[in-house]
This record gives sequence, structure tokens and C-alpha cells, in this order.
Amino acid sequence: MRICVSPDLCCGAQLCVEIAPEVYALNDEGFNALVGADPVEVAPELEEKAREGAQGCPESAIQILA
Amino acid sequence: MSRYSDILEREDPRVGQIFNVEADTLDSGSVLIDDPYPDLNRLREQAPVQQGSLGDLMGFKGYHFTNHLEDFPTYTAFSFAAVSKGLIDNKTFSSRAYHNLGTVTALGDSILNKSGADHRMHRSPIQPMFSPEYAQSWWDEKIIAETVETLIAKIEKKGSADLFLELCARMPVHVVSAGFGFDAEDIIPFRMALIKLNRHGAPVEERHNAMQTVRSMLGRVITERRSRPQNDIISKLVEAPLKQADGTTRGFTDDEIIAHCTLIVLAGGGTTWRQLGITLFALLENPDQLQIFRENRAMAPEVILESARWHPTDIIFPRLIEADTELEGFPLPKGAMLHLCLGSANRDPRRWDNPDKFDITRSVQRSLAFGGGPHSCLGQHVSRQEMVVAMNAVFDRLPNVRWDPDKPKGRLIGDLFARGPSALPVVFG
Repeated sequence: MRICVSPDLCCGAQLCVEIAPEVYALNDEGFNALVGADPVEVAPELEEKAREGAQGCPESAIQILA
Repeated sequence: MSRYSDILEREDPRVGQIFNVEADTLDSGSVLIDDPYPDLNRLREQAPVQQGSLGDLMGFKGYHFTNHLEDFPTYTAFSFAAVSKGLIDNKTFSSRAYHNLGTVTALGDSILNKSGADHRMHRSPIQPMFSPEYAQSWWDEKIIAETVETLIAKIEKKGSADLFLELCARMPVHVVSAGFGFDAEDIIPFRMALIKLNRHGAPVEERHNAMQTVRSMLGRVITERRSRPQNDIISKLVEAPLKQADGTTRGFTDDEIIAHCTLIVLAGGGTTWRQLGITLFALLENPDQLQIFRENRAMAPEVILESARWHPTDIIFPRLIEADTELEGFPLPKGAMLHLCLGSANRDPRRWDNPDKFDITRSVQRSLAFGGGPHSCLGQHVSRQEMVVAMNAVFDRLPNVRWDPDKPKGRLIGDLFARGPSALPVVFG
């Protein structure tokens, strides 16, 4: 499973990081660190946390790629 | 026709009384301001962060504005960068401001004023009920489509209408209240009580009575749904699991559900009303943009985002400064209030070309119309879906809709807190 974050949608709500700090991190400006980055692979044992974090996003900015 | 539509279709003089931007502004002890943007542009160009409340800096000292405390040390952020940082860094610029402002006393302890882990614990369980996907499926199928159809079917027979009252006002209050689980007959009485809660100038006893009404009306629905759940938001709140810091899970208490409902139904019935009105106003006032939209009808979502950028309903939000800090190089002291001026940030020429122009063709960049950071607007996707469906109904069903030549055109009015059109008198056909 891979994840990516749409730069147009991330509003810095930071709920992803609070829900799933194992998966997500913030950049210096308080947005998801994956903004502007290529999709990254999620370790199998963290897939559930990654999904939970994505569901917590008020903007649905985090996309789960197969 | 359903009982809900039947009641929605009835004439109700109370709607005109409670959905009136001018009366709303004056009843709150505030003052009407025609167009604040020339002043906001001037102030933003002077400095991105300044000492003084927005009201003081604009020369309205002595007037009451919601979110403003007379004689309390206050600073105002104007630039996009400063306001965005103020919204995102909710630790330094916290929502405890609402305690100082009396909002917590008026509306209860809710996600509006909470912060950190406590805020996350209360917001996370309800976030999925307001996601973009849920807005376009559950909300639309349950209540948005039927509400808009009922209202537009009534309007289209008439040849003329005040769209602000007959569509913009009636749609959101019915959608959000019925979505939560209120009986159609109770929607307007509940709204009247909610408005009184937040009326700072009103006698304490009147506000206390309104609080009792709100609590008893909500309490009745919550009790019913606890024993017999239905397909509505209050039933979902009753069943939602709340994950606590120690890892255990519990359900929301009645008081917590009341706090969520009070805040969300109040906000959902008030802001969408005004923003849909502003969107229709902007199109009617800009025939070139209206023509582009008529030829590109799939653009409704972009039109709404541009209207919210160009003229958001609520132009300032308050924060409390929790530590000595700086914002865009300007030193700010612990304990002071910070006004985040979304209206000014949304016209920052460092982010948008020709920002004063309402231009539906600009490539969409996130504005601060729905806030940002941990407290970004919970209901924005439901609101946007409501506005899309309503806009499509207006332009599908009211051919050649235009200002009514026999009536004064609507104007954008309000104060430094909440704004909207005076009216939207139109003819069609």
C-alpha cells in the first residue's frame, strides 16, 4: 500500500499526525510532510494506522493507493 | 409528498424575522459596514501583523463586535502567511479565546474552544459524518436533494422571488436540523432559541431561558434515539465510540452531544445561508462571470470556493496567545488576543493575482474561507454540497435568472464578524 497527500487539500489540521504518528509527520510549516512528495510505501504492519489517519483528515487530503 | 416537504413548503413569517443580516447585526449591538475591503487591503499593506483589534484599527472603537473584547490587549493578523500560521499553530494561538469571549458560557464546552488531545478526542468520532464522501452520499440522499427540490419547485411557479430568503435561508437550517434528527415542526423554534443563546446584548434571563429550551429540545431527541436509533446524526452521535487517553472507549454523554449539536446546528444554519447568498450575489453582479458559469455548468464547486475566497461570511476569528512569540517578525505577548482576519488574508496579492476580482476561472488554491489547522470548518463539505445542489437548481430551473428590475438590488452588508446580502430579489423566465 502507498500513500500520498494532495498539496491543494492539506490544510494543516494535523489530525493525521495525532492519530497515526507512526506513519505521518509534519513539515516546518505544519502541513503533512508528504505534501509535494512522491507516493511512499507503507509497511504492512502500519497499513491500518495509515488508513485511520487518512480517515481523520477533514479534507480527505490523504490518498491511499493500492 | 413527505410530511417534511409539506411543512417546509408552508409560508412561515418567522423565517423572515430570524434570517435578516441587517437585524442580526444591529441586534447583536454591532454596526453595519458597507465594504470593509478597501480598509482591509490598506491595513494589510501597512504590516502583516499589527497592534490593535480589527475594530479599533478600522476606526470603529466603542462598537460591540462578536469576537471582540473592549480594552483587552488585542493584535490583528492580516496577511495570508500570518493568518495561516495563526490557524495552524493552535498550541501558541489557542481557541481558549472563546472562554474569554463568553462563547463557552453561551454555547457550552464544545470543539470550538477545546484544544490538543481533548479537541482531537471529541472531534475525531464525528469527522467521518462530515467527510466529502459522506456529504455527497448520505447527506445528499437523506436530506439535501429533497430540501432543494421542495424549495425550487415552489419558487419556479412564481416568476419572481427573494432567493436569499426563499432558498438560501430555508435550505441550510432545514438540512442541518433534519439531518441531525429534528422533527420538521421543531426546526424553526429550535433555531429561534439557538440565536438567542448567542445574542450578547440580550438580558441574562432571556439567554438562560433560551439555553433551557435548547437543552430540553435536544435532550428529548437524544433520549428517544438512545432507546430507538434512527438514520440521523444524533443516533450516530449516541453510538459513536470516544477513544480516551488511557486507551479505553466510552460513548458521548448527553451534555457532550448537546454541545456538538448546539454548535454545529447553529453554525450550519447560519453560515451556509449567507455564503450561498454571497455566491448568487457575486454572479448576478458580474455578468461576465455569470456567462462563463452558464456555459460551464460543472463549475459550481469552483464558483463556490471563489465566492468564499472573495467574500467569506465570517471575516475574523479570535485566538488567545499562549506564550510570548512572534508572527511574521512581529512580537506578540502571552495573554493577549489575536484576531485572524480571514477576509484580508483571502485578498493577499502575494497569493492571488488581482485578488479583489471575483474570478471563477482562477486556478483553485486553498483559501482561508473555511479556516485551516486543527479547527478547520467541520461542516464545510456538507455546506459545499448544499450550495452546489442549490446553485444547480437555480440555474437549471429558473431560466435567465436576473435581478428584479422593479426592486432595489441586494447589497453585501454586515459587520466585521459576519456578512451577507441584504436580499436577492430576482425574476426569471
